[in-house]
Amino acid sequence: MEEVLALEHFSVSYDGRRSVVDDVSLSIRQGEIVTIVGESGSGKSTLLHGIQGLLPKTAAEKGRVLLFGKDLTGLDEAQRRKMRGEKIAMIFQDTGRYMNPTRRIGKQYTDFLKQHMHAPVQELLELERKMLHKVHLTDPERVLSSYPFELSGGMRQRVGIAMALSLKPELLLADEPTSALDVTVQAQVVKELAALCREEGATIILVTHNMGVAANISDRVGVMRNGQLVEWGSAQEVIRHPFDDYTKRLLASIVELNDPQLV
Amino acid sequence: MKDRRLSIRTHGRTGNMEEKLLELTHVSKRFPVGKGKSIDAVKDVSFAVKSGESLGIVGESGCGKSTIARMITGLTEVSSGVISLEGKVISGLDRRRQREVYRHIQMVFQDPYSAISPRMSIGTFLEEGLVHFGIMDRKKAGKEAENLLKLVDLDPALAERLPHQLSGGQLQRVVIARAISIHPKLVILDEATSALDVSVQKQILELLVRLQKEFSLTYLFIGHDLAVVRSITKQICVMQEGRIVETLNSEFLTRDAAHPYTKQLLASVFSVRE
Repeated sequence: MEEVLALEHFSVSYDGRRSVVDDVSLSIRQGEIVTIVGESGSGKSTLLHGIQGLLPKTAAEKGRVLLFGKDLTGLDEAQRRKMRGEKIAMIFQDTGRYMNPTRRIGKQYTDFLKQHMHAPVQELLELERKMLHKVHLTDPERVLSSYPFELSGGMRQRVGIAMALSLKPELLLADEPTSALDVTVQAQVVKELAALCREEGATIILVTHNMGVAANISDRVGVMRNGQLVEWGSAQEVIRHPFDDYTKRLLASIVELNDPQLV
Repeated sequence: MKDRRLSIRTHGRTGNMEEKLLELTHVSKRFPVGKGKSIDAVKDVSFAVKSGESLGIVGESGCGKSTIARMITGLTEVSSGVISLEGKVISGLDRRRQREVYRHIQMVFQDPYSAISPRMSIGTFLEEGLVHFGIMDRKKAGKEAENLLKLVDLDPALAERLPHQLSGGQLQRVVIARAISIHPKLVILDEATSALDVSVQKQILELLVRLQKEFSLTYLFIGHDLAVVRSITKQICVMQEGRIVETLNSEFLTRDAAHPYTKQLLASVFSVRE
């Protein structure tokens, strides 16, 4: 399988002293579902921003970010934006926050597609309906004619996933894509997202604090702590036979339904 | 303190019927939303918490679980029904009598940073409750603040610090210490560990269990994570759209769950051990 993304000794520092991402190297192949797990402040979101080239100008990067073998760190902003638009898509924690509250979903969706595709509006609408169906929004017309606030959080997140996948990105980045949702909806959306990526053959890097999500949907799991990638392996290996002490501790801290009670 | 600990253990083993500390009887809350419309946030909820035990309430956002907490603490009035503490009605009291009652009920919320003024030192925050409720004078309270920090496994030197200098987990320990310092009869924990990292969450749960044993505290533990709520409670009320759909023995939660909604919640848990 072709390598989609590689990081080579990638480091990021905001203040020039402390590395928020510290010497991370990894390689991700086409079609893999990768989950990066970490607690707050572990550097997992900064890592995603680094891959996208969305770090603030003051941040200092070291090492290389290779997308299909092409180093992104050397590119200027315009070149990076082009790469981002064509090859990388992003799903955020709360898609609703990135939508314009005063415009209907359909209008925003169409505008988004127009920025990247040159096709008649009718064709774009066709694509929108198809994608909304794929994320299990069974009444696309209603969704497209709604304002963001008229949809539930789970529905908005599904719209975000549909939009991100519309452009057939080579790489999908998701930063805590379901953390803002209710537990029951969370499980559905995560499973749908994973299934859809498999169906489309999309490569995804999902960042989460939820080890359970990592264990259940991913091919490969990375664990970050203090900016370092302390664990990297197949989901099976990492969950069953963790190598790093921190991963072991993290796994032991998880409170599960069939554990002995603490009282 | 040692005796007290012992007495609770015996109490539990012999299985005596403890008195009902908190009781809600047919409690409802209706919020007007304008144009003559209203929302029933809590519908005919009844449950009781025995002294020294902990009861959990589980549900998703908007199910009414926090409204229940707010009604118990008097922050929100009940629309109908009765809330009583040790057999005495505490819902619908006037302001002055309310204040007397509510020193016996303490609350711990999700975000500890919003519980403390950012410019108040940890020590002052801990002294405040003791002095305000007339438990001791300022001088003694200063010493007691250090003891309280030790009680929740923190360095007494943290008394000098400001909230932002502590981690979320450390600060939640401080908030818990403050809550129990005035010897409340009931502690309501509303998503008290939800904002914390996994590794910290379990430590806080263990702290809560230890404190409960040491001071024979009564907890009402509200949360959305079934596994977490189950881990430190005896009984769990499952709430959906303002109603309690099922009340279960925490230990046998997965075995006994019968309501479709509870089953749906159980099915939504991603396990790492299975």
